[in-house]
Amino acid sequence: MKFAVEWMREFVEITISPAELATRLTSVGFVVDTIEGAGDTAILDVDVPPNRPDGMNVYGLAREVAALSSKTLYSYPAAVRESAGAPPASAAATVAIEAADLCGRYCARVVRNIRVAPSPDWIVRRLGAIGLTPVNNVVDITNYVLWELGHPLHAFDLTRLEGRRIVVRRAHRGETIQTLDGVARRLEPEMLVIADATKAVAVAGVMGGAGTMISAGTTEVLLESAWFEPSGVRRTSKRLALSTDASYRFERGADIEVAHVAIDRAAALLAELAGGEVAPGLIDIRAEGAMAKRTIHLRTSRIETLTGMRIEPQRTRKYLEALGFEAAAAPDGFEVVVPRHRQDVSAEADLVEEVARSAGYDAIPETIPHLPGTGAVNRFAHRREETLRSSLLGSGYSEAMTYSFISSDDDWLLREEGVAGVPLTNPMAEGQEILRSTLLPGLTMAARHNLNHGVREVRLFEIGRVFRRVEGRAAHEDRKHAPGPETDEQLCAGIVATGLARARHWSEPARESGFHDVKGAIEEALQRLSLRATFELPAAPNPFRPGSAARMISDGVVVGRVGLLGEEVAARFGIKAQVALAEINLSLLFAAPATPLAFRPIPRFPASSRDLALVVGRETAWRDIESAISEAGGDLVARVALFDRYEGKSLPEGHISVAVNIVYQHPDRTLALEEVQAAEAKVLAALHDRFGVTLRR
Amino acid sequence: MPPLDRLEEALDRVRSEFASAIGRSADTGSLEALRNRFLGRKSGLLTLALKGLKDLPEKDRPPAGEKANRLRAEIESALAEAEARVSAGAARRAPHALDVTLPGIAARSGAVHPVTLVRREIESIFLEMGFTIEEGPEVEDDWHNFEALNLPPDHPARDMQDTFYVEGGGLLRTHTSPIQIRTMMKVQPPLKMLAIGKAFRRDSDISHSPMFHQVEGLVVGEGVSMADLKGTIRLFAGRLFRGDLRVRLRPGYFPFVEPGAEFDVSCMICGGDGCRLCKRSGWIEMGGAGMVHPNVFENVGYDTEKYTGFAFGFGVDRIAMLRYAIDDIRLFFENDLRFLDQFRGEA
Repeated sequence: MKFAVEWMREFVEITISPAELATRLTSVGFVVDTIEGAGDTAILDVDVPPNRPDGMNVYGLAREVAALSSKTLYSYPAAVRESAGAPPASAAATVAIEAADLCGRYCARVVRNIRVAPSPDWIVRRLGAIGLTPVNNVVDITNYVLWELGHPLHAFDLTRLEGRRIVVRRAHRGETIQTLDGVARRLEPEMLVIADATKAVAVAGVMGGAGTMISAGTTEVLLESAWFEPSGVRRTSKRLALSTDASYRFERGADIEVAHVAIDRAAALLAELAGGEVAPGLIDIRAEGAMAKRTIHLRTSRIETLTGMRIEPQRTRKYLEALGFEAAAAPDGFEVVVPRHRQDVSAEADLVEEVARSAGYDAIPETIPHLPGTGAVNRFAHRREETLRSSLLGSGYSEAMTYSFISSDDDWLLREEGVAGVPLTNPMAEGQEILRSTLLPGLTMAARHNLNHGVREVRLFEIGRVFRRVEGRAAHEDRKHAPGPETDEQLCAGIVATGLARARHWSEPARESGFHDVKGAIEEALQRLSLRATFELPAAPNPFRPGSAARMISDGVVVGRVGLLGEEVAARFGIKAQVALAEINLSLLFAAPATPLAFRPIPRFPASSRDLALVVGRETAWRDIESAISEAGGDLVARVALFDRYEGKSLPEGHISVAVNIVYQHPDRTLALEEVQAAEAKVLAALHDRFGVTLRR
Repeated sequence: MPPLDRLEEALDRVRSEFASAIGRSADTGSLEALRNRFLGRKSGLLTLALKGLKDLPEKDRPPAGEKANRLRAEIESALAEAEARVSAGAARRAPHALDVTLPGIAARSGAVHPVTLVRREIESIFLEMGFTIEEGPEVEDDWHNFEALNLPPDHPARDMQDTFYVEGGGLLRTHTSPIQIRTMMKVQPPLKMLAIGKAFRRDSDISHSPMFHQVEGLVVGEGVSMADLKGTIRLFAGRLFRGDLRVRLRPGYFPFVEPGAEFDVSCMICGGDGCRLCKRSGWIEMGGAGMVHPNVFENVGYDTEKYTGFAFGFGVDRIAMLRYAIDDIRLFFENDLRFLDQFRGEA
């Protein structure tokens, strides 16, 4: 909000430079963003806090300047010369408030014989300096008073008010109005309007109607200076999606006490600058109790408790009075009467802030609170999350962070079966209209971004929450104050690998990332987490390539999925390369307790290590061979490892060769060769009987 | 010929003779011989040339000595270089020799996201100060996100936080403050907690992302004051930015605190003298703070007379931007490995 130093000087003596003024205003909470010009022509751009409508005008900011520089605030010019002998205002118009809950005060004045014309230069200059465009003298004067004193005014062409009557009432059902901006608006019964005898002529506190606006031929004006209840104005402004200088102030709380001051100032200017004759008498209708002032008890001790500053009572009184408060001494402090322009001050703590910012926050000492604290991390499975993160990092995956809102098409493409998504009602952009139900689309797009920018190895993971719709869920226990959102949040980890499995290196041939790279990273992480899971063929492979995907199962619960992205889906994401993806639901996986670690003695007797080359059918799963070996070999089999896998012409059709290393061991003695041979024979027999496996010759 | 000129001529002769001789020496033995021939203590060529030194007038001796020493150093370093070359060549010809200059073989680890790096650092500083770390849902209800924080419906300050709403009820939390509400409803004072996580606002430019990370601290107890707030922030900022930074509070408005403040720390680059980072002000704006508003305490059932508390909050992404001189917040969510890889050294 822009303020001309020159204008402020009408109300307070300013002896410091604009730069110094800016610094001091900033230090009391009115942040000055920029200073344009210098000296008397300086314009300050001030960030007025939203709870300080009293500071959104020249006089109000001058009050702050006076307080911070120990100067006197001049009184506001309010004298108006009424036309003696002319018919009184009350004979020219009548005013009635029918909705006293939404309108606390309505002041009106009648000004006759106005000549609508351009404003004089000094008004044009002052309004222009703060960025306002002049319209005509009548409209400019209402704006001038708004920016000078902060009270919104409205001018009606009195001859167009049917019945010369003002009624402040709620809109009728189906009532419409064309506002000053030319838009026809449909009103709702909870909206407050200013009406004449038959129709709405203004949306109260928001905008006037086009039908009664000041035009070139207007001669008789009814000025309005009212006070409207803040939340009512705000609701109406929101419903109509119409925010104006007036509504901005009313919804933050205008000063009910200055309504008559503002109207008198405007009437005096109309007389002075537009040749108007002010009808005798101010029409001033007030709702009962609307003008009452608040009194707050302020304890001197509370100032010290909250700020750590000890401030003498005399200084407290001086600070408060400089800001327009009345402070009467009480045994432990003051009874403070809050001026009507400070509606933001409603409790003792607010007064403490007034005193503290007057004393200056720089005077607050620095101490360290002496309170016990446990230093606990009360976050779901945070240690396991860190272990998982560190394991994936060690496996070469970098940590990604993708947006929580994505395109609903992308989410749908990679969504888990049976999951319902959670759309936003007011997304910011296309492609961000749904809360992600899976981390995979974000990671897939991150992979595409990297591939498109020439990155040849892409390995990323993300740990974050996904959102799923839960129908008809009962209110959450600690959501007792509102109906529980029907949204479930799950912590997930997503992994993507595409491009080269490793940077091209002299030590090994280049290889593309695949299913087993991602699976390996997960298995490594599971080991580091002391958790177990198996990988099973999924019932429905979507969105993965058929035969190249698995469900991850832990403790009988499906906790994740891993697979190669199906070509069609990949194409939808604009990717040609092979993409391996995995997603693990950590809320489920980490629900299982970790296996407690207990030391196992290191075997004292030597093991016997034997390699076998086996020919097996292509459909035989490795895990079946592995468990058959363990079962057949019994306790003697300590470890089974697959160390080579070969497909080639030398093998029978539909067969592959696997090289297996089996370690036989006994805890209490060295195994004899015969024992090992007998065990191996049992293993081979079992493999042959169950899977038709033969030894490779 | 004056004695000095004669000496210099002798030194030049030695230099050129050495230059042609070293080119012909390709093994350890011949290099050793070369060393003896030129630098030998008794009959080395350089030693012999220097015999003329004693015939020089007193004033000519220092410059002549200096020239001789320079030549000696040249010969020494040329010999050392040649010896190194010869022995490396010999090593390469050794049976089963490796090319030790080939890149090593390693499993390459990934990079931690810079926001995680900064989050961990902030957490560890506060954990050491005895704070607990708490969490809460990202899809919140109106009560926890606004009303309990002294932001009743129709409050104009709601405009400060442009909110995403969710179908089926609820909203994306606009700050991490609802975590404070949830924690206070579970725990009685004294309380020292940190809430850290994602927050969402409908806002997007070079320094605002619709999704961002926020951290908030809350301390509640008997006699907790703004002085404690100031001291805590200073202690924290000093550790985070590794220096003795000053803290400045300015009055500021946030509905859930009163008195309210904005807090700045002295610029970590210029120390407060004024530079580009701090826009010549000497101060870096960090975030908002203040004493918890009594209405908030009432909403969670705390005794507003017995307890006072302070709260502060700031952006985690912003700290990461300051720390690593990143100028666009959107880089954090693009996941470009050319960006992420740069943080491998920070893990």
